[in-house]
Amino acid sequence: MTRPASREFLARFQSLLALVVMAVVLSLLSDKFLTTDNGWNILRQISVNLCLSVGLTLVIVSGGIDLSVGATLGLAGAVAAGLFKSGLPLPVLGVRLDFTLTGAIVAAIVVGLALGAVNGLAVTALRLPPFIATLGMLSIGRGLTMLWTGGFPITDLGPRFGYLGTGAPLGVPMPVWIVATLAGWFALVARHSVFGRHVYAVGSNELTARLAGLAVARIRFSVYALAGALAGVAGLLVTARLDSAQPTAGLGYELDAIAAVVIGGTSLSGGRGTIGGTVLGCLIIGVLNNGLFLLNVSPFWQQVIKGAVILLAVAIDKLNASSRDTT
Amino acid sequence: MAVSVQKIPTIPFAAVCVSGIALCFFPLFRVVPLQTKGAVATAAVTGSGDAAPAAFDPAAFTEKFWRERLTPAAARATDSTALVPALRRDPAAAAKQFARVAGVGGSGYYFFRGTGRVTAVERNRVLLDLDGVTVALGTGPLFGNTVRDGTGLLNVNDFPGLAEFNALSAELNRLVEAQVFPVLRERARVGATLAFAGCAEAPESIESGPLLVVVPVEISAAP
Repeated sequence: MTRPASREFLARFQSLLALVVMAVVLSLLSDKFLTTDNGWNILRQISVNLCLSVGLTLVIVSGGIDLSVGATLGLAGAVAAGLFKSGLPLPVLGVRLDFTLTGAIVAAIVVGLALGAVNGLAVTALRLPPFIATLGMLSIGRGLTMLWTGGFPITDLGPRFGYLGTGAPLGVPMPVWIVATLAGWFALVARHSVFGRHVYAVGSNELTARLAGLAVARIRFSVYALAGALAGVAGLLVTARLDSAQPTAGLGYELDAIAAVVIGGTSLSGGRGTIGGTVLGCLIIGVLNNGLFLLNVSPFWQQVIKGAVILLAVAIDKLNASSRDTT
Repeated sequence: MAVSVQKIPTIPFAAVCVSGIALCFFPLFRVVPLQTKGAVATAAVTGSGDAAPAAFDPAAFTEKFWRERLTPAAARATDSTALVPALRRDPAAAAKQFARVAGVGGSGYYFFRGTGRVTAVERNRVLLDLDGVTVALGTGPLFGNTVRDGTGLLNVNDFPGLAEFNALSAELNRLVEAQVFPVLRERARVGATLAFAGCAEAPESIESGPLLVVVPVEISAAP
């Protein structure tokens, strides 16, 4: 292999290589790491982050950022739990809408979609910088969650709701089924659909995309709405897994999601990245969390190490980008 | 009027049809009369099993709760002779042993009873010497959720919604202001001995001033 070819190989498979190296090292350091149970455990743990990260990948590829996915997750989960448990009273009509499980699922997705759509409108119609627009939504989402829950967890949702988070059809955890399906679908959409190619085009060069006749605003609006809807699904999974909607659910999740996307090779400047890479990024973070836990590393050190890994990933991404620019 | 069949967007139309059929089998919600909610919630909270005939009424519920659950619970509340020494030794350990934590605010509450001598009567509080420490009994106005959350007798998940749960707080505060504060103001004379039961937020550390600020739910003459 020539030097540029080997460099390209490394750049292309750096996330996979990092994951393999980590897995080998951790399996040598802990006999509990390389077990079937722990494997399912890691997949179950990363499913929520992956659900957020898939949507965020599209947003970042389109040249944006979404800091509100964690807050959206919290609100969507709380609304779904509240409607499922207590229904929606309509005193004017003298009735209450008792939400079914299907209704709760749809409600979570609709809430996520609505918050994402507001983000999209703020970025496209109001032309706010995505960082500011979604930072505002982060605060709004957190506030709405507190208002909806009154600061109290909504608990005892029952086994039917809990099945979404704890069920395991054919031995595979339900969250893994759901998120694997979504990730596979969005990977196809990103790579093989017209919409997916338009997202890359907008992220690569917005002006060129506009001149080529693409509906840039509509595309950017759509990716924020989709990211919101996926955060709604993530909210549902967290709520079902815990059998309760916590008012603080999703706090800081946006950072893990951004980290996974960046580690997976998606460029923060847009136009480049894959859902497959994001899956690897989530796996790396999941394996890192799991391994550090198995090795009894202090949680404070875990945060330091995770931060260092993110910095390293971004630095490698920048190096690769500059080497591409020079060749 | 001629309608072009070809102009009907086939895929969205099919999607609407499929969604409509799916919703017949998996409806999003069921419509139920509102009054059954209050009945179920009231029965759940009181543990009595008797269903109320109308929608949830926070005033009626609170008065029943006060009479049937709060007053008996006040008689069994933690004694200050156990709580105060523990608090003076280590507030964190005392909180772990005696406090109830409600919601995510992290605030712990004590529900306790004690007997003390009045040392001062101020505009909004009465200071009491209780086993060698000073505690304050509030005399109003009263805000917040100290009584609702401090007794540990009410669980948000037993109520139809948060609006109802929050309404309980307002009703409980109203009852304290109407029934307890007047008695306290009447009996609070420097040197007098008062017995009380009440709720107080658990302090994280011992500061200057009263050790606890109590919202009384019961005031009686000292034995």
